[in-house]
Amino acid sequence: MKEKPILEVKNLKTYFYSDSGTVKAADDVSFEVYPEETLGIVGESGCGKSITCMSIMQLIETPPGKYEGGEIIFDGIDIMKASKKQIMEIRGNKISMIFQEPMTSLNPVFRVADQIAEAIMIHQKISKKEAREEAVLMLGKVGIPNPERVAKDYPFSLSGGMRQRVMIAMALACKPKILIADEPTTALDVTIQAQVLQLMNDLKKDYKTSVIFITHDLGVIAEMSDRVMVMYAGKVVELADVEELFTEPMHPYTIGLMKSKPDMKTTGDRLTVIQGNVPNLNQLPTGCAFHPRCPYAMDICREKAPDLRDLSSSRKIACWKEFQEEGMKNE
Amino acid sequence: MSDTATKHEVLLRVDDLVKHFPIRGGLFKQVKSHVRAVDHVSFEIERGKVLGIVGESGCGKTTLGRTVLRLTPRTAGKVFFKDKDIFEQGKGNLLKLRTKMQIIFQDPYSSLNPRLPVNEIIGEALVQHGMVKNKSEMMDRVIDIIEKCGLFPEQACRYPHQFSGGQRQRICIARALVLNPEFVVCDETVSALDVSIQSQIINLLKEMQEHLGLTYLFISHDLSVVRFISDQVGVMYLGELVEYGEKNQIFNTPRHPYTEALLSAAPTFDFAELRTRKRIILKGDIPSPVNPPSGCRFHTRCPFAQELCSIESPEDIEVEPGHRVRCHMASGKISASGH
Repeated sequence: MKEKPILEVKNLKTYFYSDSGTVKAADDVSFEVYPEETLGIVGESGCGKSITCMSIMQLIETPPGKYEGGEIIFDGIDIMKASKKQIMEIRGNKISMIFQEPMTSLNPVFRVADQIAEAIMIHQKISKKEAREEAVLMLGKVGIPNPERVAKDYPFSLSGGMRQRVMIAMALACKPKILIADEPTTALDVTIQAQVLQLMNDLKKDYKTSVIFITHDLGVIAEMSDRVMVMYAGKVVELADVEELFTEPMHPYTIGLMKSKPDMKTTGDRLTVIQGNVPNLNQLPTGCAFHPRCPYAMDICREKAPDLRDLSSSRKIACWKEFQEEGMKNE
Repeated sequence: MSDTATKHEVLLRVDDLVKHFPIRGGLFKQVKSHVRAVDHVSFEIERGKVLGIVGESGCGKTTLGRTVLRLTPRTAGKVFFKDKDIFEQGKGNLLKLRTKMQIIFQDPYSSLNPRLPVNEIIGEALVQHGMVKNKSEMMDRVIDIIEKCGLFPEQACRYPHQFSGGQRQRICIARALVLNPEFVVCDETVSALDVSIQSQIINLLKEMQEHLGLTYLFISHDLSVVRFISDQVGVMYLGELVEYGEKNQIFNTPRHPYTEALLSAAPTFDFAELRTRKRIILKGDIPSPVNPPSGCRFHTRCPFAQELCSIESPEDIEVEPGHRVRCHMASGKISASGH
């Protein structure tokens, strides 16, 4: 069996309250992250992938958001119940995060090295000079040419790829156990994306860090992840080992997603599409949120939302189709 | 190109098109240098075909799309639409041409006026060009096109904020197509959409192209989308068209090292391909188009670059019929083994 997970998310519920209704952004989300693995989270906009990770970091603004339940166990601590001091200890130190748009995450008025040094000094008792030296060292590690010079630069003078490297340097400066990467390469060009992805894979091995990698890009997920979790409308619909998921997707949504993305082999006149639109989170359909778009929808799908259940040792799925068939086999 | 073989009508011919943006600064705002957004680009599109343009940010693909429609003045070169040089047309003629040439933008949020209902957004152009006599005729045309684009007639009186991203892009498509254009520039039209919506819009664009006999210039950074929708493909790098050819030539037998690198860097979830693929990771950043590298613009990142590449700019060579490459390796001036 697998080792002990370093992060366990159990039944996480993060809701948002507004005048137009309650948005269940993350609804009963459960998963584990194991040491040194990369867990990919994939889904379309509004599926709750970012909210899930922001909840792990306790970065949700409350109000309008509210944690309505669940546990996030890390290092024996339930982050949901942790004190502010405990969270400060974890956030940015043991679990750190990088975001999609590096320009908005870097402070425009401070030099690059000072920003990295600040992150180090918050969590370690070292002098400013040592922290700065460490920062330059980190810049070198993330493949920035001429790190000493770049250390004195301001973020605006760097390219998008370089900024993302700075973000990675900052995130890894405290040698976190988990790195959460929220669409880290979405804003980058393909050739630069390839550089950053390779860098992240190399550093992950060096630092023995677990990574939670969020993206909407199925190709990036396939190349980066060991296991993949597919989310739809705030819920986990499928979770499996990466190759298993992509060679044999089982949830109708996963199947639809993969078919609707043309790849280098797609032929024919038309793409296969998932009908309809991504539902509005404050007016979710009854039962399984995917049923109005699902080609296999049955009566039960309209009435009752399926739970995420084990299909095999390496796959979990939330779909009535699978369990109906299983039920029939047992009879 | 010979006249005897013109069974297929060339709808758009771009001839040595150049677009430089001046950078002004200092005292009296003198021109200090230029952004070379589009540099000596030539191609043709036949009626009913789709030319895909791929390239990374700053390669000039958007500027190319805009200049081809004369939405921005050119610096040099010619653009012929049905044998008429669009830069030589007077105001009246240009206005007539405009109904035949349309553009669909990337962001369906900022390209629709939030204060107008959909029927006015779409119908405005009809009225502007005097293509309808009265309001009821306008409504008929609008409802006809929005139904074709997958929206419902009762949605015609709603405002843009009442629609989702995918639906808004349908409105943008309806607006472009209501004038019965012949040529449409699609500038990253599906890039801002979620995967499941993206495929719906791609199918819609293809359907419309077949029904209405449209010709597209399809600009995108997404190689798999371009491969799916295009007949010919052009690859741009720092303002230059570095490779151009039939879709299969570009995707199966790319000749420019940049095209090869782009193809190998495109993420895929096809595990059979992932295992066999040789990944080329380019070094360094994309240089600035203000000060492009000397010689071949790609030489600073090219794994095969030799001395000649930094001195002499490669010519546009036809390596096989319809397949053009700008690379010293293609012209045989240097060999890959020399590396």
